[in-house]
Amino acid sequence: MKRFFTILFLAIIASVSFYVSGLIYTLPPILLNGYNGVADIIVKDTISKTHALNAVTAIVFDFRGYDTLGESFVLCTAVTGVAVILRKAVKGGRNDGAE
Amino acid sequence: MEQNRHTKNIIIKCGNDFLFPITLILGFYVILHSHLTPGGGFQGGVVVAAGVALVFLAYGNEGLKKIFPFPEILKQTENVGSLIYSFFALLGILSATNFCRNTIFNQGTPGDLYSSGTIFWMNFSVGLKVMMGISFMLIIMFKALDTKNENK
Amino acid sequence: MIVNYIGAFIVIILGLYMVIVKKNLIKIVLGLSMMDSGINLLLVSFGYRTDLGVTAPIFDTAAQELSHAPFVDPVPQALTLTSIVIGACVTALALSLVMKVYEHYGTINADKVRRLNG
Repeated sequence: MKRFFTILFLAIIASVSFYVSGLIYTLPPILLNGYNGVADIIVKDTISKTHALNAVTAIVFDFRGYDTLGESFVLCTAVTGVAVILRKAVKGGRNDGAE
Repeated sequence: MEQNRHTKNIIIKCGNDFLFPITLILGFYVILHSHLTPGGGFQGGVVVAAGVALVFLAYGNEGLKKIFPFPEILKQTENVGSLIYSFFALLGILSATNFCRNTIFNQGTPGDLYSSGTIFWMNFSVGLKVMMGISFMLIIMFKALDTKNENK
Repeated sequence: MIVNYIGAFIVIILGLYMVIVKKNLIKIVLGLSMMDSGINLLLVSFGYRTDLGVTAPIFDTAAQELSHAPFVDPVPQALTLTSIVIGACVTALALSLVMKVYEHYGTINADKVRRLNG
């Protein structure tokens, strides 16, 4: 009974997502002030503003450098969290008794 | 059982002796040439950290302790990398524009190795951070799996 | 292309099935990682353009002279880089928690780790 309701719920989500993906596929392109969205503005200015040939690196480190700072912060937090959680296992066994 | 483990270690040990320097050089190449070819700081850092996993598979915990005797140095280097990123991001405020602005970008023609200003330095610092951070995390996790001196 | 969208949604739904139904803790963490992969694929597929002769967004010597560079959308690719790193960090933390649960309870069956112990 529980298995039947799980599969019914997942089938409903699957059908809704396929219908939405069919709708997204037929969206018209944006045309505003002569540009075709944010990507067109960035690609036209990459070589003149930063002398870099890789457009993705120029976006990650120059046009949106603040997001990369937040992501390095998440990396630092994850490494510290793993080191704190596995502290007693690294030192060798549990310490019995009151500390 | 003992004979089987001996044979498997010989093959993986020889593979590691051949592949570990190649992995390090490929990782440094991908980090350095980030503004010319696909890749960047994150991708190159993970390639170098995969070399540490290779050393663990071949030599075990004893070999890992011989190559990296002080794992705390890795964590301090990651903090230094984070500070270098913040310093180059603050250069924009010191020249009266916004934060994270590329102010030293005209120091070479597009296509050279040292050409795109703060992107080069920020990329190097993020590559240092990912390299050291993920290697440190892998060393900690491999030490926790040590079942030889576990007192129950 | 529509095949990318349907494939990404199938991967997400299979990951959700693993998180809901399975009882082993490591399989639940594996389902979380599968959902991350499906969402990253969906995010990169949103940037495909259906014009003629579009390529990857790297300026080689032929594309530097053109005034209108025929590239696919590079902004979702830049956002996916951050998402991949965050997914890997979440997986690492979840796996270290599973190691602590095994050390404390002695089992990694999700039905048996319900009561507070000792």
